Amino acid sequence: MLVNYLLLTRFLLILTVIGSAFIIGAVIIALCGGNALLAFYWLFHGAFTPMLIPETLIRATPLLLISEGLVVAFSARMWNIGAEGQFYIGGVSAAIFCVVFKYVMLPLQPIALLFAGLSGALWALAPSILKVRYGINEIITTLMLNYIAIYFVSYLLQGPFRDPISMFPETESIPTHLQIPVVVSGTRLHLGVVFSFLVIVPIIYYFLERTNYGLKIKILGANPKAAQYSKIHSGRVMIQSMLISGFLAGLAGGIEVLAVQHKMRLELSPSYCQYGYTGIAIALLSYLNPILTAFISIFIGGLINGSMTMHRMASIPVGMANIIQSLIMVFILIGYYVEDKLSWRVLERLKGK
Amino acid sequence: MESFGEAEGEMNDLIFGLIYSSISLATPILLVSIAELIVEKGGILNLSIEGSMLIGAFSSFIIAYYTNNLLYASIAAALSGLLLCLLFAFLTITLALDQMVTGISLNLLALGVTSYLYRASFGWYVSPIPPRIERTIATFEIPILSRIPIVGELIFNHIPHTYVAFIMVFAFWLLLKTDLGLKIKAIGEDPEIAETLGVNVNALRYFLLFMEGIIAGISGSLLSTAYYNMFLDNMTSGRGYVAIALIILARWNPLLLFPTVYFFNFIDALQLRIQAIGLAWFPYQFSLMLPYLFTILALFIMGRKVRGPSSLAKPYRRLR
Amino acid sequence: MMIAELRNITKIYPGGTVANDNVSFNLERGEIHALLGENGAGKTTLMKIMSGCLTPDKGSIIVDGRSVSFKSPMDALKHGIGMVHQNFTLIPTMTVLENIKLGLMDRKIGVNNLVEDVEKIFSKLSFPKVNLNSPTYMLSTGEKQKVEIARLLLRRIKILILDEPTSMLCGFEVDRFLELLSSLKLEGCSIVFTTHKIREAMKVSDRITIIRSGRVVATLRRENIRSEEDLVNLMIGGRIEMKTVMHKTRHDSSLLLVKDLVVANDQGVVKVRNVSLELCRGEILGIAGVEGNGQKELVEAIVGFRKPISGKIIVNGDLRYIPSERELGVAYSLSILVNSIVGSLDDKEFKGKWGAINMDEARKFSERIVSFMNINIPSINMLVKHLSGGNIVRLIVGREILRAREILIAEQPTAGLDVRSSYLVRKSLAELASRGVGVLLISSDLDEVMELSDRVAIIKNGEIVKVFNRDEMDSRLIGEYMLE
Repeated sequence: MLVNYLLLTRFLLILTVIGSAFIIGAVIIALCGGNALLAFYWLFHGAFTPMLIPETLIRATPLLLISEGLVVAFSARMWNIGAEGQFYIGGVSAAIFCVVFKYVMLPLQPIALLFAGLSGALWALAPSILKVRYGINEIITTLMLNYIAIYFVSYLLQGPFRDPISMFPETESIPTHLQIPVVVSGTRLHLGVVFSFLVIVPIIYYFLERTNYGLKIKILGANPKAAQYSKIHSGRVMIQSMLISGFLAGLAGGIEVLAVQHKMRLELSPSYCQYGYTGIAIALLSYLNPILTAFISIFIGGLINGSMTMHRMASIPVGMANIIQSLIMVFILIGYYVEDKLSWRVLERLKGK
Repeated sequence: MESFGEAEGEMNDLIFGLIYSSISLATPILLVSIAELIVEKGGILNLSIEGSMLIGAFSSFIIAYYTNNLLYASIAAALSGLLLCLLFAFLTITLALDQMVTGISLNLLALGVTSYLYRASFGWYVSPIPPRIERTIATFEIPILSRIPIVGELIFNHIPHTYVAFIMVFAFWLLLKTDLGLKIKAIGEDPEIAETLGVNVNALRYFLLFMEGIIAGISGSLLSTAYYNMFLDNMTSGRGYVAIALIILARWNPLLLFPTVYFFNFIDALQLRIQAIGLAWFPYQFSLMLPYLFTILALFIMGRKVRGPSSLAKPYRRLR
Repeated sequence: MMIAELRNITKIYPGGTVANDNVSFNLERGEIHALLGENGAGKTTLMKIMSGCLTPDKGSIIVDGRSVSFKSPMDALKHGIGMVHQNFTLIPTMTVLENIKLGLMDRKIGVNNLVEDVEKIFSKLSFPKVNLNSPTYMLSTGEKQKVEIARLLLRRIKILILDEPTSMLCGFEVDRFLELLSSLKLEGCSIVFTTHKIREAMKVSDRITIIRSGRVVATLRRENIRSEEDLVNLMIGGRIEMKTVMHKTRHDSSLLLVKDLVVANDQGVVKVRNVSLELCRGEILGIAGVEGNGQKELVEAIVGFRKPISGKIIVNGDLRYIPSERELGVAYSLSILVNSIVGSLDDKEFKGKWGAINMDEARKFSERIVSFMNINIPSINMLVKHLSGGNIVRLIVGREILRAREILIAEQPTAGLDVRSSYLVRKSLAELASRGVGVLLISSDLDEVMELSDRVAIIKNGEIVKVFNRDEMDSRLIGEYMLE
């Protein structure tokens, strides 16, 4: 009974948050002289018409992986802001791996992806150790590493691993036998999408909600003092949760390179809606629930794609997706507050019975 | 073939330029750092100063572009920075939400809004030649002191904000020694007890954030209307976060902000010079990385187990 | 002649706890009035309302004949009402002088004058010398209390409220404190203090009000009280047979061995000096002492929270722990169900397949705790943060008692519980011992320690000064050891 009430409240709250963000987005569009209704028509068309749904899923995949990783890290109260950098490092690692092994005629994709994930995890290692051993705020360190990652990748793409043929800063194209194959012919829907939604999501859900270790993470995040009390190795759990998060972000980068872009380029993550930061919004909006994260990733993926259509057809700058996503983030925070207040009310009602 | 004297002259110019830039570029960071230091002393961790600076940079640029009036531009910057800070204040004080997450969210919001509005104003695609404003904030020579050879030009020939920043740090240091400073420290250590002793914790925190918003907005405006004459996406590039790190390194002591901030800016100025010189074997990306690497390194060496105000970043709810 | 009156005060906390139910209370000019009641009876809430820290949901406050409403403690102070809280309102990291200044913010007093005034008051009340520039965390409980009182006196308050002032003092110090109250009364102060110790209330008060479960049971003049037993009955409301289960002590195997332990606190001050003790199967070893003499650090070292400077700790069995700082034991934003298995995550019975948690077992255990401790809640999926304070304590204590297999360290196991639950807990501890569990009992309730323990170790200044066997126990003797 109680649980149902609370779930209903949460669901309504999510709808309200998303709705409000869109309303304000519409206002901004109108203020800048655009036609909001037309804009949103194209937005939803670009996102969810049946023909374009595969594209939405493709767009959602890196978002999904990054957010699932962030759900794990945030559950342990490790604020990993460095997902963007880890994403890039993962992407460039996968690309470099394929360039190095391009003459090996074996399906090395899994290894490439593993390498990408591990690189991402490595990028998250330093901040987590600094936090656990020295108490240094991980928000700052992960953020600094984002900038360092972008510059480092830029160096690699303009220097040692630059594609000799192309005039853009990017790597060579990944040979076909090392790409991730498409599973639905006629679309770009690739194996990575299937893998992320059908394998990773259940794993993360099971891991966080049902296993011993997952509970330890949640207890640590809820009350670090209680974690110490219940003999949870806080330091270990904190570092491991960050590494998992980094791994998933790196993996996302690897999949994006191998399946979608087929090379590493400077704009792996759209500049108007960076995956690493958007992932934070998704993780928070889904109340750190791995299943809900999947749905919201699809929604935001659609938002991004839709905003490109909106741009083409109604001349709205693509940054609108970013604004809506940021507004969602701010509103969901208010939503947390409202939910807290409402839950007391619900409780009082139930006690009255 | 250069004469030795000429080469030496170039070196002097290099060093001179380096020191001058260190001092002048430090101004926005110094301003933001001291404002945030006081706010943190009061128990609030405001990561959204990055966003406030960015909004300040944008709004001052837009106003300067369309009105050519730098005073209006500064006012716009102050107001917009203030607006974001007040929003932050509302979310973290009145609603008592998590300060770190709120700060990050508002930064992303600021980034999105400024990028969008910039394109809405100047065209959807960023042209290779970005729009510029004609006049930037001029430097102000302090009458007699700037005539002192070498030192005079180095120190006393900056934009007025530099002098103000310097004085402000001292002023805040003094503030902390007064009764008001005692109240600020108290709410940062233990807001519940402070409330019991009659301090209106929330009102004081709102006041501190109010001040910080104005300062952050104006310091952001320096980026687009003083040091450069244009606006770029994400112009602040993490400087707000760096300020937070510098405060930790300065152990929340205003006087220690001087060495920390100036040293950091020395590194920043150095990397700019290195880029300008264009060493072939040293890719410019590594130059760009330097300030961020330095921040992490500094935190590692000197930022361990440093204890800030006891209730920093903890949400506070009045129990009535 | 009444100087203050509280009429029909009702206060209900979010979550539903009725702390005060239509309570009426008054204070006469120049009297010492004791508010007597068990833990959780509502005394602190009432006093917080009187001193402006809380606003009542219903009822009125009348001071000097005029109806007032306090929006903050400052308002109350302006009317001459000041309160010394149980946990003190001193900011630990700030100095004594800074804390005093903070309390006098609305008055313009120069620093020099302030120092003079403070020293004057300290000597007038024969307080020991305190360094005004030392941070307050370095002060002893008694010293902190005096600083608080001095700060209030500097404001020339007329009504002094003290919440459980003697809970952290004992024997000698209590007597000195009660004398202080008498001398303050002579200075013209009207005093209210809350306590659950009948003896103290009887010693110094002019009138005693007994409060139970949020309601006033009676207000009596001291001269009209015939015996302590009457008060006991009023406090508890009926006779409860409080016989403890006698258990047999078995000394065959040592469960916990501590040898020459030296432990320092966060500030580096050595709090445990060369302590050695041994806990055997089936025995209850009580640690008695005034709070702050090292018990906290001793327990922290045994449980593993704090690394000792030197010495050995040998734990020979599965260890469960009831923390005095209750926040340690629960994750507020998680459900009761999850919180029931906190600390047992690696236990075999909750392990399912492939690293999962066996949710059925967890649910069963959770429900067991709830029924054992009579926790009244709609569902175990409820979040702990929505529970009342008392229920949270019940959850923690119940959980640890039910999981205790070999060693149980119980810190203040009955603090925050009502009388029935306290009795249940004490009975359970005795039962655990008779089943072979070794219990280390740390409690500031001397009656409880004496009732349950087979042996009592008295800790003073970080040293075990004496260990009493059950047959040697005498409360006066123990009190002396705790203070000399």
